[in-house]
Amino acid sequence: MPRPRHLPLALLLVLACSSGGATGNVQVFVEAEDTIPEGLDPGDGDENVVDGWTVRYSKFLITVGDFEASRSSGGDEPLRDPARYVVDMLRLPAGGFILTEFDDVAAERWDRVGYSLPVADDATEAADGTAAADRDFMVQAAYSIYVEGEISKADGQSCALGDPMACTPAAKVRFNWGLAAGTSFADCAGPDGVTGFAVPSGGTAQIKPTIHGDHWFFTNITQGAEVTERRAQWIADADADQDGETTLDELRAAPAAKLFPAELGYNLSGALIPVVTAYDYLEAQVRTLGDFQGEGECPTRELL
Amino acid sequence: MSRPRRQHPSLVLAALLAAACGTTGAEPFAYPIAVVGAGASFPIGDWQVTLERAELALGPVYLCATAAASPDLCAVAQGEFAEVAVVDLLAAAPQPIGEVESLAGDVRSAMLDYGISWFTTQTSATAGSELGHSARLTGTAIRGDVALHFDALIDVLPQLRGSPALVGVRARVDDPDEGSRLLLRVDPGAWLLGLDFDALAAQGQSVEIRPGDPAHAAIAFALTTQPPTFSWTHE
Repeated sequence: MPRPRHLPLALLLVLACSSGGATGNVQVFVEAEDTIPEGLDPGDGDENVVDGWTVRYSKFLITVGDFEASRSSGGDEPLRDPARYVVDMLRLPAGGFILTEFDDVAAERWDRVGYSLPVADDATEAADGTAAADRDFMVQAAYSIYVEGEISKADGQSCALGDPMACTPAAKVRFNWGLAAGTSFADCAGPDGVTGFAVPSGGTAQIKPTIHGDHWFFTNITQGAEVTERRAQWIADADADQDGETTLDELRAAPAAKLFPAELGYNLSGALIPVVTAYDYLEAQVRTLGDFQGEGECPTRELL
Repeated sequence: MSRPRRQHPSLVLAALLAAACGTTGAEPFAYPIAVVGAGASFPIGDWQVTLERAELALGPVYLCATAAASPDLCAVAQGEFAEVAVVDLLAAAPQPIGEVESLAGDVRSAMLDYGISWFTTQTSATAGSELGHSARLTGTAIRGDVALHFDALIDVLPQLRGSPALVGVRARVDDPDEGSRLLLRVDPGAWLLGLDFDALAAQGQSVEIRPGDPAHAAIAFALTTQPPTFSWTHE
């Protein structure tokens, strides 16, 4: 009788694929992409703004929660925490804000992971490090996100709806934008494309829903890897009264086709909502901010 | 309907690979695809617009298993309508345009061209139908006693060689089969929302909208950001 040469390997594989009742823990942190605390700089690098603008944020509030993880193979009950928090992304605790924790869960791969960036409501709490006044502000306005900041460029110009014949100097342009753009994110995968996370036996898996701060500078709607350019001129060009601040009303009045032309590399197919105005572009990009484990994506997005 | 040569992700390759592996669950099958347009008359601002001709070159269409579709993530299509069909968007009833060649499995997004593709074997984007463009929209816009006739030839070009013009289009169905029916709904009126009819009327009583015009950019942009909606039924 021939000896099964590969039995040891098969045995190892079986053991590797079975937790055998082993358990571990899960910690879920909310993390800010570097573009939020550090802003974006002009340049030709992968993370730079190619049209010369510098971006800095002075306020960046989000509402986050509804974490859920399960296994497509079935088994244990899903890991689920419906808690929602307003989080000041510029004042995260050292190491990140702990959104939720789970103890004694199966030491397996939990391949279905999701969370949401919903609008704030009365049940929404303030995260550690987030001022109660900021939480109250988000709840009263029913925002899912609020950002304040400015773009700057020494020789910057504001050109009415992109018309190069109608430009005025604009070295700085401010923005204060609050949106009710509740969105759920699912099928999260790490930067390597592998969905979910693995819980080590006797150890703790650290999971990081990651909020990005640069998507409203993208020339496309992210599909998997962020293969895109970053442009900020549209914010200056949407400042219709050229008073140095681009308001949401100005964005609503600005035709997207004029500010995001194909000639500059824009392709906004795949947006979760129809994009007609610059406000629509902003909202469409806000609805893509929820990422995972740094540069990983959560490609299944739904309106809340 | 014409059949351009193509080198896009193909489920033919997937079927061959499946056959080579001896699987029986990935047998390709086909189901019908049809297209229907929305109304021909609609208000836009102060203008009442009536379309007299609305033709769209549609295809190829690729159905993807991932919610985020890109040529990388959808290297092998879950299903495809590999042809280019010219559709009359003013027809009252859905128009059958052919069949989706499909593999078993869920669909979570789509990629498509509007009749102009840029395959990896081509040096530039090329029209694949007798229309020669992505769309032709002609009609009349009326405001009070002012009437404006317009004739728009629209080209929506893929920006990258090897990539369809539209990626990540929302399309979702669980495990379609031979009894499935795919209907694409197209609203040409939505594509004209970004037009500045006041500016067009200032050019004369009749205007031609061609590639390079601001009005062309507005319509082409709308075709990109307001794609057909995908819905499946089952007989």
